[in-house]
Amino acid sequence: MLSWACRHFRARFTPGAALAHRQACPECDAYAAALERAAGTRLPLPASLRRNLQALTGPEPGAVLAFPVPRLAVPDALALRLRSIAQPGRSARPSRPSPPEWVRSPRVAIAASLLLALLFGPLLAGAADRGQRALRLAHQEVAPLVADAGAESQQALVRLWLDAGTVCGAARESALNSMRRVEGRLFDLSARSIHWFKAVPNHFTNPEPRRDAGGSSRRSQ
Amino acid sequence: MNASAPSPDLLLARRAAAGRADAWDELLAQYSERFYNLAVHFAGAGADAEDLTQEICLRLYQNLRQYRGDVPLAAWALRLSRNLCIDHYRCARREWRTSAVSEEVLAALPAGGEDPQAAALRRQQLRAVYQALEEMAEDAAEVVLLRDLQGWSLAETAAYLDLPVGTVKSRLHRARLELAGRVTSRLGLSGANALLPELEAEPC
Repeated sequence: MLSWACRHFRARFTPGAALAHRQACPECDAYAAALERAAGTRLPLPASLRRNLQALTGPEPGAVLAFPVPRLAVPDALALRLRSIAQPGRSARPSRPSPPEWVRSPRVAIAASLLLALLFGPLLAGAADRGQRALRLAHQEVAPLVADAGAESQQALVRLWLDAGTVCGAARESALNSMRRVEGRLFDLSARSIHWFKAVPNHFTNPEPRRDAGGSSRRSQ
Repeated sequence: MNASAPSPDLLLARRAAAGRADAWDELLAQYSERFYNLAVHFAGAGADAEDLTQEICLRLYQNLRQYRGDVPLAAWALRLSRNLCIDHYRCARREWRTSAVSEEVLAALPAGGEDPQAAALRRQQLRAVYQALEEMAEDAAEVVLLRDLQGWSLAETAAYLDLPVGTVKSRLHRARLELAGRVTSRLGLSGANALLPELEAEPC
């Protein structure tokens, strides 16, 4: 006669189910095995075993090769080179720091600009006032000097003008005297030349010099 | 709360970025082989692949502080390496240095049992796939290379390419079909069918 546990197991059992009573009762284990054989159930494989079997069977269906392409081992010399990339104590290149938030976000940039304006506004306004006062002071100090310099320069200009006028008048007077002397000499020379013309006889002069030239006699022939 | 706790990847990256040599060694132990194999596929084997691997690791080390833990560290690190890989790939392609699969890869191929004919067939197929990839557009060749030849997961491939998983799936399907056509023209129908058994059954 079956116990209550055996009856309960056999009522609940389906092929593939793992119930604890099966390990405890050999008869029920035989019953379950017979049921599984009859149902032809393919029990699920453990994942690790499935991977190993897949590796044994080669590439997936549809792959271009029915056999796996062998993997080459890394040569020893290359392995040493690769290990030397990371020397002890030397960390990898630090990543480039990202720009600050106020550079990346326009909202933050506007807020930061307002904050800067509020913070530095009074300082800048005071500086502007001080600058204006300094300008006024400089104007008060410099303006008289500029005015004085202007008066002195005007006097110098007047003096220069008077000197220039004096020099110009002297030059004009000298030129007039020279012209007067030249005029007097020309007058004397013309008076003497009249006497010289009167002393020359009339036959020494030729009133028509072209008629006596050789060219005209040749043309007449 | 558990959700706010930093992931193991993030902790590892932070420790390595702080100059802890043990953390860097652990990180290399996890990823250097993937970097190296990626470099072999993009730059060809030899000194070029080693130089590319070193460049990738150097860039990873220099950028570790920028890792935020929102994606797996592997995908993030591989994404960092993408520009370097593409530059080397274009350079190598220009100089015809990646016209064939690396001899080191061929030598490491599993023998396929005791049958030497099967091993030779595998080598021939792998060469044909690489030569066909050489002729394909970069984005199509890249997705096949990562998913099928490097064995990356879809999530890792999507993170590396900076694309949604669905886009990667569709691009992968188109690339596989194109690759099948090219391999068929190289090996003949029987060879291509042996190489790409599932493609004909997949819907377009």
